[in-house]
Amino acid sequence: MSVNIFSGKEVQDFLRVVANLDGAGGNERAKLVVHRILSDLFKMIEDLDLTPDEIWTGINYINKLGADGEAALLAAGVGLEHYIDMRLDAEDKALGISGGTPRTIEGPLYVAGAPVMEGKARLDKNPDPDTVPLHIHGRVTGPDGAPVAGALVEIWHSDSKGFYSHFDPTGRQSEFNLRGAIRTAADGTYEVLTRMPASYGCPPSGATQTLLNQLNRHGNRPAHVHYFVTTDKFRKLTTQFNIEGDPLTWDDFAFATREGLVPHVVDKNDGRAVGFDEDAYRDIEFNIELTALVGGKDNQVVERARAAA
Amino acid sequence: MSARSADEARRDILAILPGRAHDLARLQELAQDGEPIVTVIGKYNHGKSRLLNELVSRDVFVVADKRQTTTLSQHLSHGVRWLDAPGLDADVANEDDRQALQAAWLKSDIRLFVHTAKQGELDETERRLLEELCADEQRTRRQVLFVLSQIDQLADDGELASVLQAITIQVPHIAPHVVSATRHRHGVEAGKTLLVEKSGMPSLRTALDEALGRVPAARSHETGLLFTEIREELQQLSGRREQELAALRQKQRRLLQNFKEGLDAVFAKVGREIEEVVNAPIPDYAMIPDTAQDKYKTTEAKLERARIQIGYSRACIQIDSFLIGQGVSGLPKEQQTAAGSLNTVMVAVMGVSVKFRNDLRHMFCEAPGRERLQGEFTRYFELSEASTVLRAKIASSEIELKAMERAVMALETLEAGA
Repeated sequence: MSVNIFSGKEVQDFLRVVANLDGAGGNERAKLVVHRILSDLFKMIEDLDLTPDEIWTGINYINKLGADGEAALLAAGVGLEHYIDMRLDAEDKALGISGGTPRTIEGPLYVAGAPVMEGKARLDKNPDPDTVPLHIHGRVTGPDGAPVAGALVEIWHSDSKGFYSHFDPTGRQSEFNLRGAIRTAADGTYEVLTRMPASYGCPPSGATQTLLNQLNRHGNRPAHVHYFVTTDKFRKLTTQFNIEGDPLTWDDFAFATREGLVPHVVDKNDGRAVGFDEDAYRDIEFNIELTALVGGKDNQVVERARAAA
Repeated sequence: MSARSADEARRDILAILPGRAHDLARLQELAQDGEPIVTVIGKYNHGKSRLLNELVSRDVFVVADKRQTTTLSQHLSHGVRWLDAPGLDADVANEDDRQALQAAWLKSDIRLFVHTAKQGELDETERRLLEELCADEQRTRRQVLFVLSQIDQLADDGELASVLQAITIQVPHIAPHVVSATRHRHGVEAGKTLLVEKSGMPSLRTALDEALGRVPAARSHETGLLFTEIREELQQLSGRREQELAALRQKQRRLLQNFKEGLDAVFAKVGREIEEVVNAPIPDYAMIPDTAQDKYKTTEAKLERARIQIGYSRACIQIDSFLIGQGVSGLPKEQQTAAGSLNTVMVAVMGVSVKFRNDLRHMFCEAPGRERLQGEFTRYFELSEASTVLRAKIASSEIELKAMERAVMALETLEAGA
């Protein structure tokens, strides 16, 4: 039975008490956030006339989400992570900042501490016969197009099973496999020898995909390569490029694909000349344009829990 | 048999039957087959040493009013080894008592249990020890002679009669030899035959000689008895352990079979469901990439990818709930990563790479793919905590059984050398 009590004085007083909005002490920002989340939640319950059974299904789902350790995955799947990017883009626009390589989500699988190499690095440390060699190269420039020497290009991506080193439950990958940190040469270039990543998705029986099943959505991402590009003169860039031709490129459950982040893939045959053990490989040129600091400061640095090794 | 191999044999048996330490030590004594050993046992100051001196007709054992004999003193005479045990003390187990017990239990063929008449009846310690010695005689045929000593220190025959009456009530099944070593000494020194007779020593001597004659038979009986007892205990233990091991192995086989059968059933069911998904009579648009303009639009390709993934997800949820029921869902500790969401057997076996129709067909609808997946799940079943614990139990049970077999062989070695 539908009832309307949300706007009444009793519920509104109750919400202020629950969040201790009028009380002293605590964190004022947290009180404000909790009050708003609960207000919106209570209103939704009234508007959609949720049954107690439905409410408890949701509460139990949160428990399962936590038990599976998938909150960050769900954040990507329900677009929360992409929404952050949309807001940052809008902020840039408001500040008159344009150009530069588009940003996109970091994802939860970065590991700090990869050994730093000068100009060029080989990232694959373990054999992976189910995929092919990949050559990535490019130039880092500033907003004026001038090469940036000494920029730190951090790269990480998955293997053919969709697993990242340090997060591989099969135990097959050694430390920092398919991860690297390359310092650009005097002409701003960097070069990487690695193996093609796979498209991958949420654990098929985990909490995120279980919710997506209810939405008739898959939890898959196109194959991609993650980037951090860090200098002391420009804003830090967090981005990824996708592999051209992957059917999921514009069907990413995390909505991280952007124009400008799908470079061409070229088949080549001089692998031994560039440093591979075989001739056939795929080649991707991915150039990066950094953006200027805002008022002398980098407003792009995000603090979040990250793994380190 | 060398001393070393006998030591090793005893160690092997002791490893299984620590409670048989005394019996093994006793068997070691018996194997030496030396002179018969007569041990005098009793509280200190009950005339034990004086009695011994009279029995061997020489003053070789120190006689004193205070507690004197603190170590095991021995004397070889007329082919008999005489042992004078330290006085049994009623309080704590000290070094003297250990020596006394060793003399009484480990070394002796015949025990002379001595109690002085002037003390009247036996105290509780004495009574209990005498009972134990008599029970041991029943079992091992090591003989016990009960000696009521120092009767010369009683006032008269009336007192002796009442002491005897009291003692008979205490230990009705063994009659004491009533003796006075002092009278015997006086009788011998003065050449008084009657006094010698009345000292009770000659009849004790006769009883002792008869007992000595029975020692070889008793030793052979005791040797046989101890070997039989130890062998039977070992057989009983290893029989029990064999049964336990067989039960554990059966449990292991049953659990594995249950797992495999359950997994077969789940794969048969999800196999049929996946077959419907991959054989749906609609075009497979999934492999056709969308364009940037489709970013927030629904396309047929997107719908198809969702359909395939949801079908696959439902199959995985069914397999995972079977694994959870079998305690096989969580990843073994060594393989766990910092990303909790990936620490499942499901993820480790299936990977997280994207599956299209062909992938699902290979995995669920074709024998080699199914066998690979089921083989992987079975491997994780073997790595699960319950399987690991059971395997460790079986391994330690096998080791124990081996040790028992070694002990049985060691006993045969000892018996052959006895």
